[in-house]
Amino acid sequence: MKILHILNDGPTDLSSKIIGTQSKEHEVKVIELSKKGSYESLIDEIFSHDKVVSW
Amino acid sequence: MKLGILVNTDRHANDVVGLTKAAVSKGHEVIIFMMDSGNKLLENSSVTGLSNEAGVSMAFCDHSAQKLGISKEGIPGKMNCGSQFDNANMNSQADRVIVL
Repeated sequence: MKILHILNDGPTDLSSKIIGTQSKEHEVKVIELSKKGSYESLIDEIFSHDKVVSW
Repeated sequence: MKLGILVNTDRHANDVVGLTKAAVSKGHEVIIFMMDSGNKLLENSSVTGLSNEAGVSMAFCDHSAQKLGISKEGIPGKMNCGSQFDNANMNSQADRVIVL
């Protein structure tokens, strides 16, 4: 499964732990909102992943 | 496709606007539900103005707005003064949901 994590306010200990564990079984991508590039590219990422998690 | 945006903070107004406009420009629909301190953005005309965009529907939690003492004057009529029922509908209808 392709999972996108969007970090609204940067990484936290909890998000890092969960993403690290999840990465062992799934294809995981992490985007920090402040370093997202364009909004259009973020929309494409959101719809090209099976699940999206906001932090 | 449909993007749901749950706005429960007032920290990302520019991202709410930017993501909504980008999604619409790519032919997607956007459903926005505002609650808790996200309702402070009801005083931000750039955010509430999104309700006039084609393909965008917006609602806010009336209970949260009342608790925060937010005035409903000036809120566009296209915005639904709603409840968590609208949040549930958004989560049911949207293909993806993000939280800002």
